[in-house]
Amino acid sequence: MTRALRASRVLCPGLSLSSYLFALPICADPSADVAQPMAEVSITGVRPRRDAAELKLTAEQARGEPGTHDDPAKVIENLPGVGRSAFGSGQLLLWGADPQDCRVYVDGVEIPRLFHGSGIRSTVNGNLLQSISLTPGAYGADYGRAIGGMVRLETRELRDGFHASIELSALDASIFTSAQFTSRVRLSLGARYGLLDRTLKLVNAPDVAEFFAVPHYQDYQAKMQVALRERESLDVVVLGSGDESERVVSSSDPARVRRASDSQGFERLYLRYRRTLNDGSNVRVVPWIGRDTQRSDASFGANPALLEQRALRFGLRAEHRSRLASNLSLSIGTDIAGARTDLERRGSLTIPAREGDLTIFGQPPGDDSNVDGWRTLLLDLAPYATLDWELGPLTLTPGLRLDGYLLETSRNTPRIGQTPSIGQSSLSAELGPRLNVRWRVSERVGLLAAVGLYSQPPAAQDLSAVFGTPTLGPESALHASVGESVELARRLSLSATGFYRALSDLAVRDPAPTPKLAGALLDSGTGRSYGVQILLQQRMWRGFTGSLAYTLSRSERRDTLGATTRLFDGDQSHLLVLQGSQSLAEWTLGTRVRYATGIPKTPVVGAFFDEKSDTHQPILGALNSRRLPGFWQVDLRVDRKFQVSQAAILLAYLELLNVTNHANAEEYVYSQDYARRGTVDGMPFVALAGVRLER
Amino acid sequence: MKPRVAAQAALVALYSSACRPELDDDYWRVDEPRVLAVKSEPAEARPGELVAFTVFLSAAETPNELPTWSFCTAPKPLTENNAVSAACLGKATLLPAGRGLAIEAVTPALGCSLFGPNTPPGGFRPRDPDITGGYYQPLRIDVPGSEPTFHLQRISCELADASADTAREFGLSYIANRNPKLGPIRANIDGESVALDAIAPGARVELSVSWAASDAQIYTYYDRARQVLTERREAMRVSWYTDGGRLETESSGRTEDDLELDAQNHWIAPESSGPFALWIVLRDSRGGVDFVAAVLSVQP
Repeated sequence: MTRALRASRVLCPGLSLSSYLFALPICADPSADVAQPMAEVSITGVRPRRDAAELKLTAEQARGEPGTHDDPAKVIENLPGVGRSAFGSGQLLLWGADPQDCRVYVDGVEIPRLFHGSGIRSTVNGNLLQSISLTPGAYGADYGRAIGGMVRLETRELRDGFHASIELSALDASIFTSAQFTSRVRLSLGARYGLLDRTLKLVNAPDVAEFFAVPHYQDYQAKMQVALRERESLDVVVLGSGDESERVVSSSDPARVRRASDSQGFERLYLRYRRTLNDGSNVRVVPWIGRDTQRSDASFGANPALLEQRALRFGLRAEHRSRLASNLSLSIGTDIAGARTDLERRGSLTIPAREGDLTIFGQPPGDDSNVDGWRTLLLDLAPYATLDWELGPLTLTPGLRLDGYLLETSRNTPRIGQTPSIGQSSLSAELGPRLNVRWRVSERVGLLAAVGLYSQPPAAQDLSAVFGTPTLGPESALHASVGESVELARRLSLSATGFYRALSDLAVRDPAPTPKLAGALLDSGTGRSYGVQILLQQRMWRGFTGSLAYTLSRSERRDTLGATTRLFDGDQSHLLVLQGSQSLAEWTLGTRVRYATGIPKTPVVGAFFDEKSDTHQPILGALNSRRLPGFWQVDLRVDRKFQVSQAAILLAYLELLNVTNHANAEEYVYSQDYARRGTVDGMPFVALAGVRLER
Repeated sequence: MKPRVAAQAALVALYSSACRPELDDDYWRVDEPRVLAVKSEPAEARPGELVAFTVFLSAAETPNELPTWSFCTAPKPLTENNAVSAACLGKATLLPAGRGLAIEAVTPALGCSLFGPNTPPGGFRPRDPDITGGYYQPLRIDVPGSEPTFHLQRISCELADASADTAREFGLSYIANRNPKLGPIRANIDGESVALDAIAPGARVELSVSWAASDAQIYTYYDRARQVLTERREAMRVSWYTDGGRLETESSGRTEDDLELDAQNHWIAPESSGPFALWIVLRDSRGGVDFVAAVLSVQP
């Protein structure tokens, strides 16, 4: 017999109950000068589980932080454990993991990327979001298929009545509406259209495109929320996003003309059924289907470099959570995901570059050229179970997940003439035990620890018989974290977390001079990342909110047995983000200071002349043995509210990014003979001013 | 319910310093002796055949120490992006080929195994050809006082990743590459022809070179995407070097679809008078080379 948990707590808007029960919340009431109850609610049911390393913020709180450009998901940059991605890349670097190994979910449905290609905007409109949750690693058994970390976005419950938001900035224009049609049905629609490419044409130097692709992006969202019965709801959600960019570097010499045209997009359609049963148990079922497309079509002179992927993706996430005893709850579920991917690739094997490649920014790919077209099918069926066992101040959360991977590729050897293809099919099972431990030492102090095994299937683009290896198996990882959270004072908290991640079976290029046929990649790579992160958080106190996030970490890779251990391409030893906002009557002043160690680069120690191509080519030193200069940036934000009428408020704001105009090196570039070195610098000083009228 | 409307309008002001670094990248400028090109005759040969190699140096006089030539026997691993293996920069993988400004040497017999599609038994991955379908034997040239230079000698190999019929047809129809031949250098100022030895200081001179239609050879190419034999035409490139004045570009050329038979560049004569060297190298896309040196005289 199960019993319902009854709890009565003061909640921050949009923040889950679990944040209060398990850890110190990152939550602030933007309008309150002193702590005031915002909502007194009674909740009946089994509380959601929360990962030890999880940080969760409400969308409303996140979008007000300096430097986020009113985009809640951008707050990820301000959190500990998150590496700074290169300007314009928009990649997620979580606890030293490769961005390809990290995942983004919306309501439990995986989407391929959090940010548009520029990294300036997220792919999901902030008006639709309820919360943003970051788990850099050591998460529970309900998620998997990744050896890195993850970001989870939760869509908001649609409100009563009609609401609309229209936003226009130099970055983009967007519209978001929601309406209540009946007492049971609500609908929201949103769309965004990027303007950055047009803006930069007006104000920026034309040679920006030589180094960075300025993308044009758009996204759209639709959500219908149907209240079926009491404590039973069905959501129908559609998400879509697209990015396009194009670059041309012209020359009087056709061999030196460079063209690059990139596009990527995704669509998702999912249903989310939720029901709380009379016994307090919860059921959640999310079937989904979608499509991912990515096309990178470049040419270096006459040398092509094409990679195109078109994936049909589908999945089902179903979970039942119930209370077995007063101190024991059980979650059982299944996480199914599939992808049928058609791929085409043409050009040199060295492009696109892989993590750990010996290459220099801007260096053309090799002259070698090949072509392949192949299809992959991945099906992952992952049942899981998690227990929450409360033993006084101690809560143990053991979990077990079993990922059964079915992997098929259309060819296991390169095509020769009209010989029929012989495919490759493999089945593998990866067991993922997880354990999460929480110990509430006192009202103010909590200890957290987590450990688990993780796996992910090989990337479809690595399964080419020409450019990769069709027989690659899953990659594996061990995650562990231990931390402490302390309530130093009222609304002032400190948390510190140590983390360790060991990686194995990573797909790496075969370093042999003559690799095996259909064996360009080996699964011999290993790696590890470890470090400690600290978050000092001041929730609203006398009009002030702020945080200090610091991460000390190291991430290493070793490609083959016996090879030298080297730094990971995205390794950053120190990451510091200090941000705060002070409200003074109608004014709010905010600032953000960021510092990040420069990422590793491979030094050029000389050059030789390649007479055939009439170019110099670099002689390289040890891989990733020097670093770019450190990155630092200061942003300021000031806004003021005007009470236009009884029902209308005008907000005027000015956001100054990189106010010191510090030249942050994003890449080393070299003269054609590699005798001189310079840097390509990232974002200069940018001033963004705007007004927002709310009624 | 009251409707709630939020409207946001933003103005942006961007202050941007130039992102692009200034690296003084005058690749055409020759300040010290250097290798500009290497010509082989024949331009394409089977491994184990005798080939004559000639180095084209920017120095007017023969250097005190003659260049040394070595074949590299190290295939390039997949982890490297350069034209040749990093191992070719060491000595362990080099086979001495000769010494002098011009040599004759027999190319290594295992060229098609090491650098081509004929991998040893055991299921190994064949090398990928370049976009013209060619494979190349690296030849290193060391000129004292200069960085190493690599010439890539095109080698004739069988078509290994095609059906037997296609490979046979390819063998019958493929014509090995020949070196192109540069025509005379022409100079114009504002459309008027000028002599190379009578250029006014500061003048902007259009330089032009040409080649014969037969130099841009049509050759049989195996299209791996469509798995069929087709024909392609060589693209042509001209590299320009000088030790005085200023060239507007270091190279120009024609794509394989461009049927024009010449390439141009502009030379801005210095304000001071004197003779200035001009070196021109013509390359076809299959590795064929021709070169010429000339003197540009600036006279008031």
